[in-house]
This record gives sequence, structure tokens and C-alpha cells, in this order.
Amino acid sequence: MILKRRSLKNGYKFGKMIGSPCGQIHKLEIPKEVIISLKQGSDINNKSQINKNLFESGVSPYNTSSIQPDEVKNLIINAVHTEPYCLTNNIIISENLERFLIGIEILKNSLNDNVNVYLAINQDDKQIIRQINDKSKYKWLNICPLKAKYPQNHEIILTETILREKIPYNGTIFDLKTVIVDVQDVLHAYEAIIDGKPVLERIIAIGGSGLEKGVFVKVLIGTPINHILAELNINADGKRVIIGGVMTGTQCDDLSTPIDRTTNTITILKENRNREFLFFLRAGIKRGSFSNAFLSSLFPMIERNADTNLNGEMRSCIYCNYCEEVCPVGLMPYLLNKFITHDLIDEAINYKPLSCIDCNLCTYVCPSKIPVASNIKDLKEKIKEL
Amino acid sequence: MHALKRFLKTASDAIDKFLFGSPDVTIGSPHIRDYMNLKRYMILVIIAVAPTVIASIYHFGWRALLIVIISYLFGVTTEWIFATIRKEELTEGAFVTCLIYPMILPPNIPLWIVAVGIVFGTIFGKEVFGGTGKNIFNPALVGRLFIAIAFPSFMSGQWYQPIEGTLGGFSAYSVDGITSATPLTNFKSEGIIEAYRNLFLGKIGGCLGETSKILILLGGFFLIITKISNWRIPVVYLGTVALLSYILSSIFPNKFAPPLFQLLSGGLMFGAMFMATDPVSGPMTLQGKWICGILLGILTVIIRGLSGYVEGVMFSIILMNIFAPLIDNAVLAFIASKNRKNVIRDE
Repeated sequence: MILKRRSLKNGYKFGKMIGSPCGQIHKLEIPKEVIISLKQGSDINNKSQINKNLFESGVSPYNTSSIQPDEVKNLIINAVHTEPYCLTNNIIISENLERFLIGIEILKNSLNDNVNVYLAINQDDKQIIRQINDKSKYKWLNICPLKAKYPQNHEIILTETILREKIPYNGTIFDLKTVIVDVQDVLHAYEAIIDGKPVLERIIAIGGSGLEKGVFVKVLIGTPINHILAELNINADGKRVIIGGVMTGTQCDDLSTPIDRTTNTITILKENRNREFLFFLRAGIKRGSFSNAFLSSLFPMIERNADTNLNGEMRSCIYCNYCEEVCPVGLMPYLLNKFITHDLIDEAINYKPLSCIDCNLCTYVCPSKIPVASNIKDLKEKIKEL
Repeated sequence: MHALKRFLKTASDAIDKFLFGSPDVTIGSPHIRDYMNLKRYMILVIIAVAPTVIASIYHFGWRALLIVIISYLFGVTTEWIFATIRKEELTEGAFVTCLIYPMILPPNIPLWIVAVGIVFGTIFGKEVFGGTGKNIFNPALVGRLFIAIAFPSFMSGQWYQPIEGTLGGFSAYSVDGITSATPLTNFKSEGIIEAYRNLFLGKIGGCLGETSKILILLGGFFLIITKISNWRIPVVYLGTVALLSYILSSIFPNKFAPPLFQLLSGGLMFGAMFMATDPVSGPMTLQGKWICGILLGILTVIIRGLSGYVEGVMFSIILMNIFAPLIDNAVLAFIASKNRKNVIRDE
């Protein structure tokens, strides 16, 4: 069943980026010394057994969330991808459609009998939506096609969009008795129950402007990043390696860091310390921007550049309202920023700073290059200390 | 000697930074940044005003360009001196002010008054408050208002019909001949309504940049489409003027002009598109922009219709610059009380 939901009003659509991962999923050789202990598969209708096996196999979120399986009212499968270079879930789903659907059924059976199951998916993935919708067996699965606007896939925004309910101020998705799992969790659930295989592998996307072409690769959890890059003949010297996406990821200086169970994306960005002549006069056919001040707005099909340059000097705030127009949770970031710079924390509390979800869009769009998001982050920490 | 060195250093730094982009890279997330920056922001405003500048040369001769050059010369120098004294960078803030200001001057204004106005506007409209981004008033308007009050004989009654002929002002240095009244004055004194075609194309007397409405609209739409200026103020402002003058002109046709005439005459279009949209001196909240647009419209129609002045745009915008912080405070207080209620309910 396809449900109509109104996608995020604000937010930002990044468009096509240079070096985005595409194509099939590569599989790295699993070293022989790793022994996989397979257990026996179990019945997908036996609730207590499923729960036990899922827990033992390490399928999230059952071993991380603070909610009991029986309490869950809503299960949301998050197949929306909005950040540049991030793992595009449609590849994984279309390669494993049958397993994916059985995985959803397993997760549904492990929870409360009256649980509502939603599949949040990009509205552009029309083929997958049609394929799933045509299967009469999965009528209970509510498909919600959504716009690929960053940060639509953030758990709070996704929950509010799909359930059409507001999460209380400073609350979490558990306040609405909701659990969100991503596409790989669903496939892990399938493997845990049907194959008896614990969570061992993960599909990650490796992309970014530092690469000629991005790839998807299936790796063993715990594999160091430099090992993966060496296998794929990727040279990351002088480039910025980021664990996670470009908007929220953290820079990784030690490339021997292993992949963990939450890693989705490794982004390799060009560092750009060049000074460009008459920077501000360029037509900008490859320059994405929230404003429509570049030719890229007229040519959305052309791949866009991305590098680490600030693209301008820091200036004082001119109240252009870009941050307010882009903020997905309806804050006034420029106002909070003003309060922080004047150290007026008591004033700032009145404007809901704790509902900020750290999407970093305000910093991204700021033409004065003010680090608004990190200032708000500091503010939130100060408020929590009070 | 040392002071001179510092002056030169500020200038060379500014030129260097102006011509070349920044070498700085992001620290932490987000790792990429929007390609928009304040230089492009300002340059696009200049591009949007450029057709109006060309139209002013076409209508009033090459003297218009000389006025623009004088405005830049004195405006940027003032900014440069203040930047050096404050030991700050010379920023791009002056570029827009120095282009907007000459566009709201009469065509045959003495050049020394142009210089006095821009220096006064830059100092008392912007620098005393702390420079670009901290000013309360639109500096171009402060300069204009100062010379309008200080030298009234040069500022009023100095209107000329645009130069005739296909080449127009491109073949002449300045307009000469007989002074004529602007359409707004004609309406006030004799109730004459100028042909709309002339109003639209700019074949009327008036300030350098305010006559050709079609090019102003073009520039204004360009700014709105590129999201440089927020659509709320110009759209609400012009809409309020149209609606209010429609109502008032049908009740008091002698005092208030009909809506289309109001929209196309005087400095309304230029003020709404390029001056009321100044994000720094206007209200910062989006709701405040709606309120400001409505009040601007009411003030303009009332000043035009009921006061001794024929034109009300300049006074309306300056007045709303003063009220902008008050509007913002009211909006913020409303939002804060709403938020507090919600938070209490949630807890």
C-alpha cells in the first residue's frame, strides 16, 4: 500500500555530485583466517526464537535501543538517502529484493502483533515501489515515497513526516513508540534468522570528489579503512577522508580505523587550498548553491563539484535568512547565533535550541561563512549543563 | 609614514582578497560549503542595478556615469579610511551603497553635493554603527536624506525631461533646457495622470535611476529569483500600495492617485526592489518582513496623498529602518511566548 506523505518543507536537495558511487556492489575477499560460525536457521513465525536469534546475531536496533520489542508500535524502514555520496539504498534493495521483503517480515514478526510497518523510500525509486506494491503478500507494508531532500532521513524528521505526529520538545522517537532500522539491518535480520549468520559484513559506499568514480563495496566489519582503499587501488594522499557523509561525518586522520557496524559511507574529498582568480564572477555551472545565484540551478543534470574550500571569507551576519529558510526543524539559526555571540543563554532558551538535530545545513548555506551549527551545538551543551 | 603604510596595506589586502578567492578550508563538519559568498551576493546586486544605470545614461547623458564614479570614489575612500582606523579588512559592503545612492539623485545635481552626501551617508549611516552588517539605516538613504534637507534648492524643482532621439543620452553629456515637474508633482498640483507607457518606459522626469520601471522590475525579479533579496518585502510592499491606493483613490480621487499610477511613478519601484530589501537595515525575521512591507505600503500612500511632500518612499523606508528592531522584538516575543507554552505542555 502506498501512503502519501508530505515531504520535508525546508531542507536542501544537493543534486548530482561528481564522484558519486554507482554500479554494482563489489565484494572484498574475506580472509581465510576469519571463521564464520553459522548457527541453524529458525522459523520466521516463532517470535521468541526470532528475538533471541536477532539479539545474539547483533542485529541493531534490538541490542541498542531502550525499548522492548513488545512496546514498539511503529517500525520504520529507512531507505531514504539524501546526503551526497551516501549509500544509495535502491542498489541494495534491487539486488536483494526477496531477501529484503522476508527480512521486513521477520522484523515485523519479532515485534508487537499490531505493529505498523512503514517503508520510507525515495520517490524517484519508482521501479522498486511498483515491484513491492504489486506483491499482494505484503499489503501490510506501508510504502511512503519521499523527496530526497537532506535531512529527510534523519530519524526525528522521518518519524514526524511518516506518522504525522509531533515528537515532544527535546524528546526522542521512542516517545512515539517508534523504531527505525536501515536497509542493511533488514538484510542482517534475514541472514540471522534464515542463514543463521551473525552480523559480519556491511555494504559501504566509497565516493567523493577525490575519486574518479565512486563504488559500493561489501566489507567485513573491522576491516581497516586503508586496507579497503588499497584493495580498491584508491590513493587518498592529500585528500580528506571522512567517515560518514560530507554534512555530518567526522574527519579520519588515522586510516587504520576499522569499519564498524554503523559505518555507511566513506567520503574522500579533494582538499582545495587554491585561490581562484575572480572567484565570485564565475558562471558556476558545476557549483551547487542554496541560492539560485549560479548557473547550476538551471542545469540540475550536470554533476556538481565538491571540495573542502570555504568558498569565501568570514563576514558578519547580514540577516539574509538563508539559514531560517533551510532549517528543517523551523529554528532561527541566525538569532540563536546572535544570542551565543553575546552570551545571552537565558534569551536563547525561548527559541527552542534543543530541537536542533545537528544537520549542519545552516553552516553549509551561510554566505558569511559563520559556523552557525557548531555555535548552536555549544549553546545546547551549555543549556544542558544548567 | 607609519600611518600611510597602514593605509596602503589595507588597500592592497582588500584588492588581493577581492580578486582572489579564499585559501581557507573547512574544519570539521560540514566538510563542504555552499559556493555562495558575500562578494557574489554584492556583485549580483550590482548586476541587477546595472541596467538601471545604463538607462540613466540613456535618459540623462554621460553625466550620470560621472555621478556614479564620484560616488564610488568618495564612498570607497571613506570606507577605506574607517577600515584602516578600526584595523579591519576593507569589505565589499560599500559597492552596493555607492551604486544605489547616485541612482536616487536628480540628474543635474552639482558634483560636490554628490560627494558630500555619500561621505555623510557612509559615516553616519554605517560606520558609526560598526560597519557593514551592523548598520541601522540604509546608508544610501541617509546620504540622500541629508542632502535633501541640507541643500533643498538643489534637490527640488531640478527635474528634466529625458533627452530625445534614438541615441538619447549616449550622445550628450547632460540634460539641459527647461526644468519640468515629475508626474507625481503634476498629479498633486493639477491632477494630471501621465501616460502609463511613458511611466513604464521611463520617458518622464525624475531621479537618475527611478524612471525606467521595466529595467527596475527586471533587476528586481533577477534578485528575487536568485534569492539574493527576499521576495516578501517588495511583493508585500507593492501589493499594499496597490490595494490601499485602489481603495483610497475610489473614495478620494483628488487626493490619492490610482493604483497603477502609484506603482509606476516616483521612486516606489526602485525603493521596493533595491532599498527596502536591504537585509541589514530591515527586519530580520520573516514574519517581520511581512509586517514591514505592509507598513511601508501604508506610509508611502499616506505621505504621497496627505503630506506636503509629493514622494513618500524615502521617508517610509527610513522610518521603517527605525522601526525594524521594534517589529523584530514584537515578533520574537510572540514566538517566545508560543514556544514557552508548548514546552510547558510537553513537559
